[in-house]
Amino acid sequence: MGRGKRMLEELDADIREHIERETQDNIERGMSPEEARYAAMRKFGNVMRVKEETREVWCSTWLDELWQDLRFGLRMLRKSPAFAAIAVLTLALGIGTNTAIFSVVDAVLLRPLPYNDPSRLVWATEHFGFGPSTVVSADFPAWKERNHVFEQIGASGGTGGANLTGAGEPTRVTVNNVTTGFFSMLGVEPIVGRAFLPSEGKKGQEHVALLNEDLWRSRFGADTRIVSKAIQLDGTTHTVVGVMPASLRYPRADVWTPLALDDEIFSPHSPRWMMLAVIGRLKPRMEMRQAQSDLQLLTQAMNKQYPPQASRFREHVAVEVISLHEVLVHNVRSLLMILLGATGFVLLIACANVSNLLLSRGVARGREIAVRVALGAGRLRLVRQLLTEGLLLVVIGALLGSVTGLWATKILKELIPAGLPADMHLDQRIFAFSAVISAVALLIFGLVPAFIASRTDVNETLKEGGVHLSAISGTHRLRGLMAAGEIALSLILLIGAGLLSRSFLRLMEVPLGFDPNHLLIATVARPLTVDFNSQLHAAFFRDSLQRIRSLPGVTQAALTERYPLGPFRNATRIVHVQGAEDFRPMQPVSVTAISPDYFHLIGVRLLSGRTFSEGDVADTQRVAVLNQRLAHMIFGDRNALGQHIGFGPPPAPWSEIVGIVADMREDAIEREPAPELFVPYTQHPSFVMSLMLRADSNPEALASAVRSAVASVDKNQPVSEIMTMDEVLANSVAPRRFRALLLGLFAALALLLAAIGIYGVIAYSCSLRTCEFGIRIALGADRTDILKLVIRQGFGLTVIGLGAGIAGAIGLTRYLSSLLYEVKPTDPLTFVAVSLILSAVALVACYIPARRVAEVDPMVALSTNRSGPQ
Amino acid sequence: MTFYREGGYACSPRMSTKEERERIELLQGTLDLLILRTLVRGPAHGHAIAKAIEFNSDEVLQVEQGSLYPALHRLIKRGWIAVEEGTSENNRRAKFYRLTTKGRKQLKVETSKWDKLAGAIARILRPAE
Repeated sequence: MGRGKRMLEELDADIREHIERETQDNIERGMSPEEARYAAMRKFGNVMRVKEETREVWCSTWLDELWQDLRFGLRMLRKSPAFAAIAVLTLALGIGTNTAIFSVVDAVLLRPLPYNDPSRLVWATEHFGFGPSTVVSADFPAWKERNHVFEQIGASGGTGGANLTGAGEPTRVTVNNVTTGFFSMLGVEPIVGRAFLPSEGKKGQEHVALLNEDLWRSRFGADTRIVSKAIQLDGTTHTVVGVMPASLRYPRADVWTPLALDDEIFSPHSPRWMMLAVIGRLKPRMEMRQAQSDLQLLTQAMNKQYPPQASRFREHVAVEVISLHEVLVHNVRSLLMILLGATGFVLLIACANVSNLLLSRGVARGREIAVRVALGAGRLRLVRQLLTEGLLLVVIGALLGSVTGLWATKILKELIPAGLPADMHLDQRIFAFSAVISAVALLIFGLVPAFIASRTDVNETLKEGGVHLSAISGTHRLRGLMAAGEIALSLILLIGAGLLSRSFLRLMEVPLGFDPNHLLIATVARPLTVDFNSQLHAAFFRDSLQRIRSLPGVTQAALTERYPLGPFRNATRIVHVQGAEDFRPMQPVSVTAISPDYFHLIGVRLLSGRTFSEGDVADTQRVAVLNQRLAHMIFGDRNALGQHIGFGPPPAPWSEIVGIVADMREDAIEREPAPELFVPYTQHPSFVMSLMLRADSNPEALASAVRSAVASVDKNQPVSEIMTMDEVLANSVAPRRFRALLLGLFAALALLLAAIGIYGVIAYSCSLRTCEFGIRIALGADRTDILKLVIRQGFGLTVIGLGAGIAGAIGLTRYLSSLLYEVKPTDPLTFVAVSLILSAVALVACYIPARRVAEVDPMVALSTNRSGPQ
Repeated sequence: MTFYREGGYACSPRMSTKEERERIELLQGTLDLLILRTLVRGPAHGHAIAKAIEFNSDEVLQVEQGSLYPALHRLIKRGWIAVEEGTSENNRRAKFYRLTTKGRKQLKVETSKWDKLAGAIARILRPAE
């Protein structure tokens, strides 16, 4: 700029000099000095304007030019509102879906856990080659005392439940036991009161509780005087010491109590170990790998201390250390990646579409651009102008898209795993992401057309009257390829959505093995008090059942420890068969206590023998009913009736097998029926039972009657959960349906955009060939020939797109395989059906412009020869 | 067709007076070309460039002399010409404009562009020939 400044400072002198020279020349030609000066001034022109324009040469900065470009771009967009609207909406869809999914990815995968220095928090567990991954309580002291890797280490005994009484209506709450230093290790402070003291981890001193903020607000009116007050959990008095913030999502519970560990639990020789979840805070700069090998050594050293019979499961023990974040998000990571990929495809398709639109405009504007080149506009300048128009589109599209995207995040909350905060809020990362994908979008769809348009050959373009044929053929191939690419991408998405939907449909067709209509399930958990008397509980459930049976509108009622598709209650690997001592079950056998009429109520067929009767009580012969699968597993084709089996830890008295029932889907609809054993609740009382009833009409209407029936038996007894079987079914397939819907939505968007894309290409090519078709018709071509010609062109693109799409889908759908049910990732039916749907849509998209051009009047077509596409 | 202001380029051709109607007004981009062409013969000061353009075109091309200056500055900014102080034939202080190597290259490009444009326009105007 220094050079410019000097030049400008001297400009006045230069101009004066110039005019003096001209005046001198004029005087030499014989003019009077006055006349000469006047002529020189006139010849020079407006001095002020010259100065201003010269100053502009130096001062017109990048920003000025951007401003000019923006104003010009806006004017161009206003001139073609249909183009602008389609382009902006397309981009808004593409950017919006990406912003929405990204905000979930941000909340789940990117944002650190809401703990102090969360990157050092790890989850450590033992694997024994069978059973769940857990830490045996007897190993925990060694880990705690002798590790070299943790700053702090804590354990949780898992989440259970308890009846909260003495604070309004009795209610069921979830209770989690944690070691006393657990919260200080996480770095989460109570919002009221204090956390647990180390002394409260000792047996006898553990009757204190921390409340969840949500429970504190809903049940205790957010009263800070709650601290040091007493609450009743399963009839035991606990003193509230503090309130934990609602943002604490792991370990999640309504109430936390200290994990009171006694010597017995820590002893390798104890018969009652606990299964612990262990969380540790690594020392600074400590690697997870180091922690893992340190704990592995400690665990192996412990092996010697266990009794010999434990060696079978101890010898293969392996320790694993994973970051806590990874543990909490593990289930959704792959799903989120799939969704992010899908929305990425939608964005690519949107970009290809806008690119196509810009290309056709670029060609249509060929003459304008040629004139500007002729007037001295540089190529870069033109590219920038065209890019600025793209920028306008993308900024408007991004604003619109971000707004809709954030609105859409409300629907996506379901994707967030339970252990993480469920709030998705705007932060810089989401803005940065939107900005980055918008920039990428701009580069993809803006740059190519801009360069192609700027490569205008002035000579040719002006000659052709605005339509430059070689440019057209070049861009036309590109446009065709982009349309084919859109078809390919949307085919991949459609196939993915098709596979998920088909899985869902397959799932809905699965025979459940029971009748789910008009069923209501009320689960009741009796308090686990010190004076636990199982026969009293059995009596409670019997009385409740009787009252529910007599409620108006109830046709049948029964008791069961476990209901289909409900929570897993009780299973054992220990099954003895009289006369077949070497039998070992290959998988855990579910054991369910029921009332006699349960099978009748739920509609499970009795295959042989009998079901339980009122006569099967505590002091009669123990009896059991097997499902078909278990009967087959133990006895094969032999008759199971009358045989005796024992199950569970000793003493396991023999039970006589009195009946075999058909299998039903208990664990999950997609899970094959598991081996099951049913026993009378009178012989095997359980403290958690579900009261199940079949209503003659709407079962939901009976919910409050059931609650009061239960309360009328024991006024301190809450109902833990009350649901209709329809709700249970819906919940069990909800994630699957949600995934299918979400991917289906993205696929539908992609299909719509691809249809617009191919329509645009064909319509544009028709408008270019209007004259040619006019001639063909004038020369006697059949209109259907024209129609065929155009459709063949569109169909060619579709076929290329389908080919690429099928190849891509074969490569990509295997990432979906974990989400599929009884459908192969390369399911031919889905591939064919989706391809046909896409072809049909593409044909319609081609047919509309084809018909229009086939009906053209040849005279009109020929007279619009040089007008170019509009 | 839309004209617009392109980085300081004036857009519509102007007519100075009725008497000058016979003379051809310059397209602004073309003026740059003419300046470069004039400087091929050696450095010159502003007034001399204007005179040379008029003279060499048999006075058909009439430069509105003032418009030379924005053009000169533009060319300097682009590095196609350079400026140096000197003294003119009558020992007066003067600024001499000189073609740079870059400018020389640009002249070739611009000339061939111009040839194409002129040819194209000629063919449109007289398609029969």
